[in-house]
Amino acid sequence: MILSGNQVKKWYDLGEVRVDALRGVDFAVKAGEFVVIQGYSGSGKTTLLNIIGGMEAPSAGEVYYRGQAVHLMNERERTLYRRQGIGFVFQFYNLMSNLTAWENVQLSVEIAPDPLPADEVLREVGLAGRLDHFPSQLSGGEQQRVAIARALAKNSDLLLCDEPTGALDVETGIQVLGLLCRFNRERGKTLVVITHNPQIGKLADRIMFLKDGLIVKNEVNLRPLRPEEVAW
Amino acid sequence: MLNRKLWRDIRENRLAYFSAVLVIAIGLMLFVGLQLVIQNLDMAISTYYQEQVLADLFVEVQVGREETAGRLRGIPEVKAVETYLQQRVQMDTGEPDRLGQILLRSWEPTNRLNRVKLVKGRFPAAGQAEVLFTPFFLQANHLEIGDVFPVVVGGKKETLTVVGAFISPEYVYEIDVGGLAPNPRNFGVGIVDREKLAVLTGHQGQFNRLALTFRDQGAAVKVRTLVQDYLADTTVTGIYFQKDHPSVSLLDQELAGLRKTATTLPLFFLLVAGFILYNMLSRLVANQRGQIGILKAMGYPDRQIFRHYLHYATFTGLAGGILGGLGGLALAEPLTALYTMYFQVPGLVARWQLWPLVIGLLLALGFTWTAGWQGVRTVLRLSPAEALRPEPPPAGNRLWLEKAGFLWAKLQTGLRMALRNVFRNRRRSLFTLLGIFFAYVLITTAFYLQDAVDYLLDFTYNYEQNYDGRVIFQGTVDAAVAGRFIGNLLPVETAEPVGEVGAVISRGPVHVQTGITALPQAGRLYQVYDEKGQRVLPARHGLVLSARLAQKLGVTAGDWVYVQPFLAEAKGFTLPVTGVVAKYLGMGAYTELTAFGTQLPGGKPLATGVVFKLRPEAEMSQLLTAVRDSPLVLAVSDLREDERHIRELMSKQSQMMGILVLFAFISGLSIVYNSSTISFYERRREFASLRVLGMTAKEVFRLQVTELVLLTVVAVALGVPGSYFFARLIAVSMASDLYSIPLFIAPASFGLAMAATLLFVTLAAAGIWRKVRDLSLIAVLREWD
Repeated sequence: MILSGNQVKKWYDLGEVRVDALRGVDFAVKAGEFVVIQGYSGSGKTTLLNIIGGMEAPSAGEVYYRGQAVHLMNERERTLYRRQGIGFVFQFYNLMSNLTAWENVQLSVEIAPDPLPADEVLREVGLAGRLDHFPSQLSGGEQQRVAIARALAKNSDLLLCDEPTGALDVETGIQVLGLLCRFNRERGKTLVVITHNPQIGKLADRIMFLKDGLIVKNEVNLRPLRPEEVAW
Repeated sequence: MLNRKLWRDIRENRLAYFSAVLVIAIGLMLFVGLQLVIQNLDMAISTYYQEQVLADLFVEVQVGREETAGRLRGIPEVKAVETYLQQRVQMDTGEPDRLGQILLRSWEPTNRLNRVKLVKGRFPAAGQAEVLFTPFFLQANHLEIGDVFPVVVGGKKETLTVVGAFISPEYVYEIDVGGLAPNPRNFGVGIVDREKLAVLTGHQGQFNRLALTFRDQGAAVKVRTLVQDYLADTTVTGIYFQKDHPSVSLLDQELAGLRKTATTLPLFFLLVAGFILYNMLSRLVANQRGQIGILKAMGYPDRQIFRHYLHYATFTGLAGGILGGLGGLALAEPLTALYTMYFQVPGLVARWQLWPLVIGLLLALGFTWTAGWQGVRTVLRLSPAEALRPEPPPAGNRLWLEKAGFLWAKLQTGLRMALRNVFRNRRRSLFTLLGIFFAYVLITTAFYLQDAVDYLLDFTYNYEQNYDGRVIFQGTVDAAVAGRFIGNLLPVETAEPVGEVGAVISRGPVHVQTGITALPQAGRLYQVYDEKGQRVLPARHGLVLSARLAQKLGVTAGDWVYVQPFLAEAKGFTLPVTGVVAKYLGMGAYTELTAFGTQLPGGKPLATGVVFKLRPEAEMSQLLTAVRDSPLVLAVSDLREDERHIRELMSKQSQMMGILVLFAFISGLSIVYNSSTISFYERRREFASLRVLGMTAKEVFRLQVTELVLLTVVAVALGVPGSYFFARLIAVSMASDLYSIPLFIAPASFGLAMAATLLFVTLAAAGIWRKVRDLSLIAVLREWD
């Protein structure tokens, strides 16, 4: 197991009101597995991904990455964990608006312990001709490919994606998913994608259904499809 | 890579950064420039005192014999003693419009203390009627070496030949006792051979001034007491340490004032710069909340992100520091040159030194780092997940104003939106408000300095001293006789005797050497007023003190003080303080002439001069003709000419004030521009949405400008008491024995500051209009951060 969670809970105290985002989630992800966490808005998907990625600490429960207790890490250790172990891809790309495509990827290269060269990764995601373009000069799909390149350049084992196609049209979405699947299959990277789109689950090895902060179903996909096979 | 981001961010907001850099540069320019001037003055003056061996103790006596001086040399703690002669004489230039005086000082080739420095010509030959004057005096009186200068000594006309020019550490600032600014047409110091002066004054074998140096500075008080004991059979008319020497103390106070200015003024600008930076950096960081979130998510440690944002502050601090430092070096030269116009000090040249630049840079960096740290720390505290979530919108509760339904309903929709925006974004509104407030106060304060000088001169020359001139007697004259003598002259409308006596006034352990002015109680020409502008009558048995003197003695009305006049055979006595009055030029005490006379030897009211007002049709020259040959009269000072002279000197100062107003204006513009630009940047998505909804660019612009106008009105209203507050701070910190600064801001200054504020609010609004007009809706709505 590369990643596991045991009774993970997260609540937010908003003055007199307590909002329970996760109410005791158990999960396990194998190395090289492609897992989709599916659920409606407000089901706790992003919170779970944030906790897995060391972006915030759980209120209760345990999370392990390669045997390391992520839930016990302090701020500094979590930073190191994100730096060495995790690549993130966000729905809205989150690129630095005043850095070029190459420079955005280089940001990852500069801090990772064993990175891949920025231009090589950008070539792999099909942006060899766009290295010097600023985000505002790129289409949404291209921006998301830069964001994926930025996550991949770290050469980390775990790739966490938060609605990676949420802001894209179908055609571009298929290209982006194809890219993610390729890295999962060919390079053996573990891929966790959260989405509300049921079609994406058909590409994954396993789908976890999240509802009201609980995993309500854990479904193994014996025959994952390729992105172009899915009817969008 | 983060450095590239830094440069591009700075480039995108270049005007905002430029304005912050400019304000820091102004603060540091003042700091470095003034510190260098202080350094130059300090160095030149202390070297001068040392080289010319300025004495440690000065004693003035009526007449002393050389044997007494010999006894003083026997005091073990005394290193050297020298005696001198001095005599005030009348100028006899034959010009009808002036009757000035010269203080003749004796000189001997053997003088080792208080040495005069020859700058031109040669020293007077033994026994010859030759004289040295200062270069300022020679120039003002169009004198050259070889010219003759006629004087009247004890009623006898004498002619002195000018043989050179001198300067002396005792006359760095060549003014008479009680004078304010050098007026070389009416007063000068002449250096004459001692033997010749003794013959002229009939003081052979005698002295009336002596100076001592100490072996050990720690024994100063002991030596003074011993000297007083040794001189018990002689009338001491003045005894003071080097620090209390009129020229030394005046220079010290000038330097002290300059030191305060050199600290407070730049600090004020640096505080404003710090405010701009804090505002700018904290909002820049808040705007980059998402970017910080992603950097954190990628695994960038807080330390590195913090360092990155601190670089913005470092850049601003360094750029402002270097620019200001170089500006300060450039400013030092003209500022030092300004002092050479007043002070006769050799070696007073602009020298460059590195340390003010280094301290200035450290100060700038300290300020900018603090501002940067304050700005960054709140966002850094957030977890990456929180930072990536957009900031929650401000609470949308009803305003208190909305509860007053009737009033609220009357307001236009635009105004309602503006009011809601102001109150819902309290922090942003507060920053803009404070920005305009600071800008307004800064400009009013700069104008205040000019107002205060004008008020001070008006008060002194039109209210306190409401006369045309003053006749100064040789020694003292019976007050009644003096009043009648001048009052009966044809050109004189009114005349009143005035008695001026040097004295030490004490309260407990505090002793202050000052002057007591005795005035007739019903006098109209020389009146004193309290802080509220109410006339205070000189008390028959009591003293009215100037506010500064009262403060130094730590007394108020009703307290008693001990007075020891510097007059032959005068004994000390106690008097109650009956009032405290405003006096902006110098400090001193007032009392009633007749009653004071009874306390002095002889028991009669004595006058040292008479103040007078001329008839409307009369000329000063007519009066001068009438008194010129009187053996009683030493000189006549023309108050209106003094006023003109001092105003002329002040006009040079007002160029400095002009620069200050300009600096204040630039800072004000920077603050408002900066604040409104950042406001626009923060709200560009909101504006784009309004444009998408169908509002015209003009309507969107009006919305933001309404807010700006609302905030400007409040800021200016608060700026009025704010300006008084800062003016008071300046008045308190600048007060010295030489002058106190009145707390007076002319209504016109408030008006001018308001006009300036409106101007830069308009300029800022014009900048916003350009941005609103050119707002790319698509680009803004696509941006994520």
